Amino acid sequence: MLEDKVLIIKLKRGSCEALRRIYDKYRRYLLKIASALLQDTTIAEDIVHDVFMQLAQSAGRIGINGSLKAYLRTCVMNRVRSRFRSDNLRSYVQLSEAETIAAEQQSSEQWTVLAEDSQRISEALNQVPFEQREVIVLHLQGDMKFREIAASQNVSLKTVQSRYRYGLDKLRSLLNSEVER
Amino acid sequence: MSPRDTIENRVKQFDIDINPIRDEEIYEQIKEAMSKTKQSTPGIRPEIWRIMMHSKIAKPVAAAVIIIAVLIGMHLLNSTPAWALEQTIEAMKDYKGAYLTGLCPGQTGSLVNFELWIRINDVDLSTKNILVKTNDGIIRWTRNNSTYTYIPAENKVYFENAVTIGFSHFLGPEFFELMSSLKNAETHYGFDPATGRNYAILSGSITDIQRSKSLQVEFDVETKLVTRLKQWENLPQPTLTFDTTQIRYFEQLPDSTFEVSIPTEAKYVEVPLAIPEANLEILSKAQYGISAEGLTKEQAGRAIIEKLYNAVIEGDLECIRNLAPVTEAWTDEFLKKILNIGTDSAIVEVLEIGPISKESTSPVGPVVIIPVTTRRKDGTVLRADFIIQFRNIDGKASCVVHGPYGLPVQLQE
Repeated sequence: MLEDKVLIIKLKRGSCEALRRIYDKYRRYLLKIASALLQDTTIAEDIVHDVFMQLAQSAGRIGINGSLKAYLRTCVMNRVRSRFRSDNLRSYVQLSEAETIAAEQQSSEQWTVLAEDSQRISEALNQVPFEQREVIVLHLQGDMKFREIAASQNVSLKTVQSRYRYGLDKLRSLLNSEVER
Repeated sequence: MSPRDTIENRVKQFDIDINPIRDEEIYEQIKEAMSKTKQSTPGIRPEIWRIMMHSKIAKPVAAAVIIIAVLIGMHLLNSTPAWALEQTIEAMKDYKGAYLTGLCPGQTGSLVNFELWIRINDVDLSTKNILVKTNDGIIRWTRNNSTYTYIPAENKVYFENAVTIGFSHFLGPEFFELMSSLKNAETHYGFDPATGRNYAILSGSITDIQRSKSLQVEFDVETKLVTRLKQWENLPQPTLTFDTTQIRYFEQLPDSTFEVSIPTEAKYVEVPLAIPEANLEILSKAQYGISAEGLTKEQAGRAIIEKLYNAVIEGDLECIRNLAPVTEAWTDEFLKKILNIGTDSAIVEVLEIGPISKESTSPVGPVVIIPVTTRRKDGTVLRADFIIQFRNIDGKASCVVHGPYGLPVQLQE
């Protein structure tokens, strides 16, 4: 915690060293959460990229009272929810942008790649209702307690626990786990 | 292992591979974004010694900021005004009080109007009384070596048992002498057709531990009085933090000026001792301070204060910087002036140290206040409270001096 506080102070003063450390420390964590929630790694990458860009651009005036990790995770989650709420995730790319993005993707490689099993988990997660998926991912990948998730979703602890239980049941059936068989 | 455990473990094992080349490209983009938005930083300029006497208190005390803001800006102005400083000193020597009005950020961040009355001690010219009122209802004042802040929305009075606001140098000779020891100021002359008067503007920018600030001090050329103080933060966009619309000087201000009325049912709450976030990094550097291994906080606190005062008495500036790391980047000349080294006001003897009068904790570790009584060369006796920050770095206990807690109090002639 102390290190993060120092990093925030340094970042406010425009320290690239602090930016590097924050980036190295949290990008994987954030990418995993976003990727697990969205399945489409390109969108997940965009979101995490945006969050770091925003952090860098507002470094001088940033006000983080709690933990840096929680702050970044909240930034990612807000964007993920926002994307999800949009009518069609696939249509989030405007036609005018599509060509550029396609060209970029051809000329450069992806930031992240999912291993085969992670790909399967991602596909299964994507078939779980978003609210349940969010609880599962935040709890198992985000290391968040149910109480914290309840606060972030603005629902009761009981609701979060139910979402978790139903979500896991659905996942199990989707993944057709060996234990179930 | 239950089916639930199995599925949980599988989700936990969800992982990604990061493409290192793309990863580096993305980091470069982010770094560039920060470079484009950040201000040029001419290096760390820690807050000066006297500024540490004006420690910022808890957040709700918005009115405090205006005074501290001015002090920080004024003191860190890197300037040697080409303009006749001695004449200013002469012009201001009879004034022992002032009334200022202007704008500053209020509790919500939007600008509010303030009124500020201040008077200084005849002997050492430090702040005797100060009263600040903003039109969002906040009142801040000092009395009997304590500082009070009334927040009407909470109907509470926050207090500190120290004078934590005020001008350490007022706007008089001592202040200008200090300014004269600085460098790189810019002075501009002009004529104001509205008033028909010539003016001189002394301006400069500073970067302290926290952020970059700019300041303008405007003088009336004829009277040599400061007519305007203005300060703003530079990042990410210029943001006004203090701007006077009026400054009036008085030879004396009566006691009644500083009387304050607040509701009798208001609750009094002591402000906890806190270290400014901006100072945490420097206070946690391992190379500074002394070892506290095997010592109680009281013993270590006494030891570091004794060493600090020995260094002040001997004029050992490197030792001072080592024990009180906030001073690490101050120039020799500046440090000497701040500590009155080589003057009649220099500390020549330590009369008493301790015991601990207050304890708290910062993110770096335990914090204590230790009082110290000293005698100056001119025979006056001072009491000052010092904040000591304890750390545990790589399993080794140590401590550093953060700075004085409030203005020192003169005990006797």
